[in-house]
Parts: sequence; structure tokens; C-alpha cells
Amino acid sequence: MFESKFIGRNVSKVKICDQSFGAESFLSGTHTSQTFVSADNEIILWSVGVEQSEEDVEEPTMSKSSSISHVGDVMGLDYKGGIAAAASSNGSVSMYKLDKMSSSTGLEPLHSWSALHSFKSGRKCPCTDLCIEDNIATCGEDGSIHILDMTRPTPVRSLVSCDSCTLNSIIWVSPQSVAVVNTSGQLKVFDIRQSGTQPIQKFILSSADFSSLNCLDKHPSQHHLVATGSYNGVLGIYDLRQDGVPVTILEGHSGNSISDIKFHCRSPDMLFTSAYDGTVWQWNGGKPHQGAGDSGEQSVWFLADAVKHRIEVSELTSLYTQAGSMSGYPVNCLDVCNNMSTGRM
Amino acid sequence: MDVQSDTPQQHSAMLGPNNKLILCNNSTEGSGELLFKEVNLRPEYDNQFVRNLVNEMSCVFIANQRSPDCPMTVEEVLHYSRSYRAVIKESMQHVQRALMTEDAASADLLDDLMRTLVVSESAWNLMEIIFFQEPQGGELALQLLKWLSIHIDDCRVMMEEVMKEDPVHHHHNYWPAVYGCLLQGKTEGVMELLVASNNTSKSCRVLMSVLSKMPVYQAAGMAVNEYEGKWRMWREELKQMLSQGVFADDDKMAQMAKILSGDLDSILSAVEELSAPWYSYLMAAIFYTQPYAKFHQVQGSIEGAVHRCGGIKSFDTHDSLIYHILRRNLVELMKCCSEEFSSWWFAAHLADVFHQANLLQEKNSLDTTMRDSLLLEYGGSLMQDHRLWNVGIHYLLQCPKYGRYHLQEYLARLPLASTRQALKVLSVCETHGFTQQASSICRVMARREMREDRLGSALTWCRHGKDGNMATIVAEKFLDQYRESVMLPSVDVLDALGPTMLLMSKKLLFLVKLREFHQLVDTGEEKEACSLLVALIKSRTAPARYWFLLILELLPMLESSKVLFTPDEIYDLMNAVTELKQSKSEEMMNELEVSRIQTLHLSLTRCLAKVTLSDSNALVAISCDV
Repeated sequence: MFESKFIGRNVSKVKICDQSFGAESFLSGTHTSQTFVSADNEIILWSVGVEQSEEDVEEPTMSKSSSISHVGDVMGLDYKGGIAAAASSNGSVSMYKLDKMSSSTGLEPLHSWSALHSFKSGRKCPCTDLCIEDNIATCGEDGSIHILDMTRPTPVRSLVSCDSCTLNSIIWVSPQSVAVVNTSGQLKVFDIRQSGTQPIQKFILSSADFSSLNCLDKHPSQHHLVATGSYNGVLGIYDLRQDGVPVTILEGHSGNSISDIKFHCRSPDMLFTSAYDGTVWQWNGGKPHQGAGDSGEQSVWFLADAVKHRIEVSELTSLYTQAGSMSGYPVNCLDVCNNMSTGRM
Repeated sequence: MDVQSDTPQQHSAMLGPNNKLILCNNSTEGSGELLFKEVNLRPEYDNQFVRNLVNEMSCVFIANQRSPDCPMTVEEVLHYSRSYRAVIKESMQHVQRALMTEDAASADLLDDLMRTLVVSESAWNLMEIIFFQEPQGGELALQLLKWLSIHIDDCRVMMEEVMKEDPVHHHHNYWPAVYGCLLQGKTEGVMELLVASNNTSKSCRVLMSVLSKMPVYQAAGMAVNEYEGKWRMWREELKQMLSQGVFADDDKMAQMAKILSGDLDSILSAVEELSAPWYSYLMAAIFYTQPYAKFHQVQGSIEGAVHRCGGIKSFDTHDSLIYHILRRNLVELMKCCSEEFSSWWFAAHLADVFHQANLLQEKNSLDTTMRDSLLLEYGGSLMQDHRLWNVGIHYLLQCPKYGRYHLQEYLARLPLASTRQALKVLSVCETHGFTQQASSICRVMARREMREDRLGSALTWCRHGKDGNMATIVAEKFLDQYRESVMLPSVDVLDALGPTMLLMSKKLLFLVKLREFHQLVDTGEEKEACSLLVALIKSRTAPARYWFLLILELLPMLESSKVLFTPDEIYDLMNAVTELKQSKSEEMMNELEVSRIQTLHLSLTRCLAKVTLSDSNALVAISCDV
């Protein structure tokens, strides 16, 4: 069961709000991909409800709770504990408060950091992604990472040009370190307490088969386990305790560019990826294995070769196609909770 | 912009991104400021409802594409066509809802859109009846009237209003409602209104009995011939009554009776009174003169009806649209669609339905290129919109002849606002095998990064595009920076560079080897570092202009107490220095350079002596011109 809706805009990011706000809400951001910065974008807060259909089946419905206009494309969107933050293609980051009580707005702008990311020439460049933990970590096309304290007007730590390429995505892997992926196929971990701009760890997907890494996510409970999705449809699983190369490499989406990747927060043996060929894949590593029990506490994602025989892959977008809905359009993003949402085009 | 002003003005125009025409006015007087004005050529895509419509229709379009070998059955075509109509209807509901809430400013826009949607839906519905359903005699007239009553429903509205009034016939719209119902063949409605008026005159009673006796065609259980016979009998009776003057005491009843008997003048005057469109006349005329008409009979009455309603010249586009549909004239119909609507969506989708139904080939002189050219136009207009280019791709791909060429050209012109967008367009190019466009995107991005002095990123784009020539250009930039600062920038990218790239560019190979040298020095593997650099010079992988710099890098190693070179390596270096010296005449070199070269020679000689001493077995002949 699912519900889909055309919103007349290209959806660039979705983020499901957590229990603190109510699991029945999610945020979406739009993009227009114009060369000049446009104010024609918005962040929308959606609420998901359930409706009894005529056949007495519960049908999910979604409706726009509120929206707020956003300058520049929404490149990254994150939510934690009532606070949402959006990364803009004009290099700035804005923070919003989600207020359930104030029914008039719902999304209240709190603070913004303008022109965080820019080139040496001074030209602004897109802030490509951000991640909220205690602080907000941002990355940009200028290869810089900024750590923002939500209460301070300037970054508390800036790793300027710590990467020569565009950084595509960023996550916190521990309270002191962030992991980023870049267009030259590298995963890097930076310790924000250390001075200097050198990564403490560096992984390369594969030196022979070069491809940009587009997205990454960490295992919800084992934070040393990180998964990345690449431009050529390769899913990489990394153990941050071992340097160098991914532990497992899996090929998917018929070689098409993976746009987003997410672990299931409750069942971390399940991974979801979305791709520009319009497909969403579910990688189920938790399939009961005959005569299992030898894996011990080791995560299923680390079982290198063996893993390939145990992972069940299913394509979820066939659902969409059956309903006569869209097919073949790029899926830009997804987020997974107990329910899942995707944004397209 | 004031183009009426007397002062001489120069105007120029250029096509900007996103379907915008930029007009530029460089006025000769005054401050000499340039005035720019943007004219949006495709304003309809700025409307969210239109974008929704475009998206939803594209899903129907994609889901219903068939290969030419297995054409659609009639049922499938009908389903396909109805899916489009459903989308238009849904869109109408959304606009309707928005119209209730929107402020006046955007209400105008939405009103326009609503009109377009209403017209297109009604035209589409009629096309379905005429082209795909092809109802038989008897049913055709009923279908046409049913269509009419759905799309011109003011008589229903009037009737509701009138029925609220007491007494009903005092309402100013009482007679228009009666005639409206009559023209649409709604005999029950007429009866209802007559009964409600409490008219006890004789002619009214007779008319009501005539109405109740009027034979109605029922598809099941009645042959057309049988129906025709019954109907003719009924009409003869009515005509007799008219000639006997049964309705003479009531003008209104008389006129109604005349309409019922198929008197064309009466029908026309009723249509004119209601200012109903011409096809309202046609359909009423058919229903009351030959309700059993087959399609060719209907077509026979069209010209007469048009003539009576003022001729085709008096028609607006909607009227002509209906005219061409009824005439089954596909060429004119398509032309009319293209004129009626500012956007191509209506004509393009319609053409595809006809194409799938095989109508564009069989019954007309047109070939499929008409559908293709409409799809190309429509797809092209979408490709030029920064929000809808993804949708346009699917339309262009469905044009077998030119679609791919058009797509290539449009893709090459898409704005690359961000790395993410560039990678997205690149993946489209790669999926469809447009290698030239793919490499051009990589090149554009590499140049852009180079302009921002982001050499590592530029090199990554070269690697994406497997572009050796561009890689050479970027590598040269790297080396320029190395020459200035004796430091290599973006080493993280150089370290991760795979082997395939190195085969494409000699410069890049040198660059990577140079980085390798620095790494070896850093890790303390000086001997390996030295032989690597000497090999680079000897093989001339390193261009001569870097030799000097490279040998300078070796200086600490040459002066080191450790033996890091073989005699052969030192000879190679000496040769290189000599060659360098010879390449420039004495006068060209400044003092600094001369002294540097002397220092190098000295160092090399000293090192050679050291190496020779440590390796007493070697037989060495020193010839040196220091």
C-alpha cells in the first residue's frame, strides 16, 4: 500500500521526521536546477494519515501541512529532534524549527548561515549535503566541511578545501568524526578535533573501476559500518576499523547511478537504494540462512563473498509501475522509517 | 519597453535559458544604460497545475507505447484515450479547487487554464465517439446529444434554478430552460417543466402526450429499422396535428411542436435565441429529422448546418475544432489543435492516440511523421524547461527518425547548475549511448573546475570522460603550479588515479610519477626515489623544461653521505645538464642560471666521485668540462 502524489515540482530530498515529532510526518525539498539561484523552491512538511477506503481497506494519504520558500535548490535536508536544516545550492544552510502546536506555519525559520561554501575566487558554490547530530556538519562542491553549532552564527570548525573534489554527502560516524564521499570515488573520515585538513581514514571504492560516490549511510547501531552508493550502481560496504578498501562490493541497478542509500532503522539487515533509472531496490541481508549460526555477532554485511548468496534483492518500484504511476523517471532520494518515501525527478 | 518613442533605439534579442527571450534595448540617449527585458516564451510551464498535467500525461504516454508490430485493439485505444481524459478531468478538479481559494491575481491565469482544459476535454470526448467508438445508427444521435449535454450543461443549471421558483413559469429563464432541454433531446426535462407550470391549455396537454409517445431508441432489443418505422409514424401524426392547427392557440407550444417535427427554421431560431453554438443546432437537427442516422448521414448534414449557422468564417477555434472532428478531417483537426492551444501537449498526445489506433496511416494521406513532428515539438518544449527536461526525454525517444538527434542536441544544452545535475545529465547520456555529449559534459565541467583553480576536481572530470587531451591540459596546470611552488596540488586525487588514465596522457603519467617520487622521499625510500626520477629524465617522460627543477629536487640526495645513485644514473643526469646548457646560448642565461648549472655540475661530479670510491671495482673515466 502506498500513496503517490504529483506536486508539480522536482523533489530533491525527503526526510522522515522521527518519533519526537510524530512518525506520520516527513519533509520534502525541491530543486529547479537553474544556473542562477532561484527562489522558486520550497520545503514542504507533509503529514501522512490513514483513510478507510470504500472496500474498508486502510489507504495511506498524505497532505501538505505547511511549506516555506527556500532560496536555491534544496541539496540536503535533515531532521533531528524538532529541528530541520536544509543545504542550498547557493552555498548557505538554513535551520528551521518544526512546531506541531503552531498550526499556522509548522516550519519556522530559526537561523541561517549564508555563503558557507564558496570557491577561492569568491564565487558561491552549492552546499551539497548536511547531517544533524549535536552539531550540523555540512559539505560542499568546494571540498570543504563546516561544523555548525546551532547556537552560533559562525562555524565552530571549518576544514577548508580538505578534499580536491566535490563532496557529495556527509554523515556523522561518531561524536567527533564525520565521513564524506566525493566524486573521485573516495570515502574519507575526518576527526573534527584534530587540526589540519588531513583525513584520519581514506577508502577507495576501486582504483580500476573509477566512479563517483553519490551517497552514504551508516548502520543504525554499528556505527563503524558504512554503506555507499556509486555513480555506476555499485553498493560498497565499509568497515571503518579497517583501512583502505570496502569489505563488500555489490552491483545493482543495472549499472545506473545510485542517488540515495538508507539502512532500515529498525531492521538494519535491510538496506534501500534508489537510482536515476527510476528503480528502488531493497537489499535484504537478514534472510534466514540454512544452517546459519556460524556468523556469530558479525554483521551480515561484512561476510564478504558469502554475503552475495544471502542477500535477497527486490525491486520496489514495480509497485509504482503497476499502479500506472510513473516509471523511468529518476528517483532522487529516499528515506526509510517503518514506512518509506521517495522523491522523484 | 516603449517601442513607440520617437528617439532612435536599437533593439536586440537573444534566446536565453529556460525558454526565455531576452530583449535588450541600448538607447542612444541618456545614461547609455542597457535595458533588459525577459520574455518568457513558455509561461504555461510556470504554472504548477500545468506541470502536474504534463507529468501525469507523460505517465499515461509512457505506459501506452507499443511497438509497430503489435498495434492496439479498439478497446486498448479507448482505454488509452480515456486515461488521458481522466488526467485532464482530474486537473480540472484541482484547478477548480484552487480557483475557490486563489486571490484575484492568479485567478485570471487559472481561468485561462480552466477554459483550455474544458475545451480540450470536450473535444477529446467527441473525438472518442467519432473516431473510436463509432456508434451505429440510432445510437449515434443519442451519443452526440449526451456529449452535448455533458459539455453544455447550462440548461440543467437553468432548470434547477427555475424549479426553485414558484410559480416556475414566472422565472425569466423558464422558456430558455424548456428550449434548452428540448434542443438536447431531454424530453423528460421538458415534461417536468411543463407539468410544473400547471399549464392547462389544450395544446400543452396534446404536446405532453406527443412527447410521452415519442419513440426512444434502445440499443438492446430494438432493430434500427423497427425504430425508424415507429419514429416515422410518430412524426407523421405530429405533422398532421400541426397542419390541422392543433397548437394554434399557443405560440410557444406551436414552436415546440415544430421543433419536435424536425422543422429546421424553428430549431435554428431556438438555437439563436439561446445563443448556443452551431453544433447544438446540428445535433438537434439530426435528432429531430433522422435520429436513426448513420455516420455518413450525419456528415451529409454538416455542411448544411454550417451554412445555416453563418458559415465557417464565423467560427471561433473551438467551433472549428468540433467541425473538423465531425468531418473526421485529421489534418485540419491537428492544425486546429496546434492553433487553439499555446502548448503542444494536446496535439501531441492526440496525435499519439491516433497513431496507436492506426488512424494516421490508413485513412489519411499522412504518414507517422505528423505524430513524430508533434512529439518532437512537444518534447523539445519540455527539454527546454529546467524542471521538465526529464519528461521531454521520453517523448523524444518515441520518435524513431529524429528523436535521438534532437535529444542529443537538447541534452548538450542543458544547464549544469551543480555537480549533481551534471552527473545526472551525464548518466542520461551514458544510458542512451551519447558518448559525444557525455564527454562534452565532462569537458565543460573540467574547464569550469579549472577556472576555479580546482585542479583535482578537474582531473576527476577528465577521468569521468576518459578524456586524454583534457587531462593533458589539466596536468600542465598542475605542473605550472609545481614550477611556481615546488609543491603539487590536489595530491589526494593523484594518489587515487587509476592506471587507465595514465595511458591516455603522457603529461599525466609524468605528473603521477612525480607524485610517486615525492611519496618515496617522504617514506624514506630515497634510492628508489632517485632511480625513478632519473628514469623519468632519461626516458624523456619528463619534458625538458622540468629537468632543471627535477635535478634540483635531487640535490639533497646527491649531497647525501649515503650512496643513492649508480654511476650510470649520474651520467644520465650529467647528460641532461649538458643538454640543458646547450639548449640555451650563454647570453640568454642570466647569472643565476649559470651559477646554478655550475653548482649542479659540481654536485654531480662530487657524487660521482663518491659513488666511484665506494664501488672500487668500477672502471670509470671522468670527462667533465667544469
